Amino acid sequence: MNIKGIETIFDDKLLAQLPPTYRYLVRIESSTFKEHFTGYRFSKSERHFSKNFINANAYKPLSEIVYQDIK
Amino acid sequence: MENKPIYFKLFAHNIPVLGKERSAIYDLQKGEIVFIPNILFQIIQDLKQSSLAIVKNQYAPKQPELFDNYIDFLIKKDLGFKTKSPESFPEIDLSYQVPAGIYNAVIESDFEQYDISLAINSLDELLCRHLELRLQINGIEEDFLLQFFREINHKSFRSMVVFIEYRPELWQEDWAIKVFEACRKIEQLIIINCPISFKSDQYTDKIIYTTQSLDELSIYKKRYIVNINYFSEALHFNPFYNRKVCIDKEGNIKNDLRENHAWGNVEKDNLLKVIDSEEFKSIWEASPDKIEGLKDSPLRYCQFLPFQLSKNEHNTWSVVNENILQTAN
Repeated sequence: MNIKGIETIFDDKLLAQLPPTYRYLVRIESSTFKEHFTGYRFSKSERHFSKNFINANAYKPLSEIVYQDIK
Repeated sequence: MENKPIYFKLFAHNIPVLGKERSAIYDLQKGEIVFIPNILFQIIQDLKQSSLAIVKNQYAPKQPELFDNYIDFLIKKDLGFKTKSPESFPEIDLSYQVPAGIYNAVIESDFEQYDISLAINSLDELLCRHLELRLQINGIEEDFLLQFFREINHKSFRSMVVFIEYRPELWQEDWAIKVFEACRKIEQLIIINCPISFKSDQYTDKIIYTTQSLDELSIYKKRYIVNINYFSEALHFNPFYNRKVCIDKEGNIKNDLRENHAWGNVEKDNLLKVIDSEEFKSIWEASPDKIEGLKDSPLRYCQFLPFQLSKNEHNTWSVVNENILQTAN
């Protein structure tokens, strides 16, 4: 999860009327927030009868090549 | 209030692993490893059955502060906790099951020497989850290639990584974007052997142009993979070979592309039958506990193991190039 900044997301005038805990709300980049599915790719799968088949990455390298090493 | 004995428990996702000279605790939630001395491994095993007071008296009757230091170390590292009701915190289930005949496949093709769609269709039937394609596309029309990728888009794969050998027309980024958008299963499109390296503006980290060749990318580098799936697979199987099939440029079916031995050919043999044979699956069982030179390492369940193996007697395995194992350890 990528926190964009820890400064308050409300202006001072509004903040004065809100409970103190609102000062601790932070802004999060939606693409890093899994439940929003932003940045995910969807394909299809006839065998799964799905037109919105979500992509998922493997938990291990698929071959002897580690993709993160590619420059 | 009832005066119950105090127990110490590791959090369920923290698994201790015994090594020859030292041990390790795998934090499968954070993806971290904490090294511990072997004596602490034994203490943790005993603490599963007995209370803190009993184990402390057993290990350090004259110097209880030494024992307390060990427990404080584990608590400070956020690895465990004290409790009066250990029965409320069961162990995590580490059995390994995958709802697919083949988990990952690697296919090489130049679209000439065999019919790649035979392999793709068989893998689809096996519910193969992840596919790595290594393509040479000399003389292949753009429309043919786009149609090939559009058809894969309907298969059962959950992700694909595609390596394509560089050709001058691939230098135009539009072409790579067309391929990437034609098949939404592609998670990474990597064009190898390019004159210079760069990443796509539109799809950074998804479309990559690299000067490196497949041989350069295949050079072994030490890697550790700490997650519950890898760990539970490594307890029973070899995570590099298990439920994996490779098909080389000539259509030969192999456990790994670097191996010389082929178990059949997709044009002549039924891929499903070859994969189901005991000979083909034998190497899947080469778990780290059965590999000489690796079975004593506390990191054996998280180590990346792209090693060629040979079978010994008594169901043990050896790494063909033993020097690589020294690099690994």
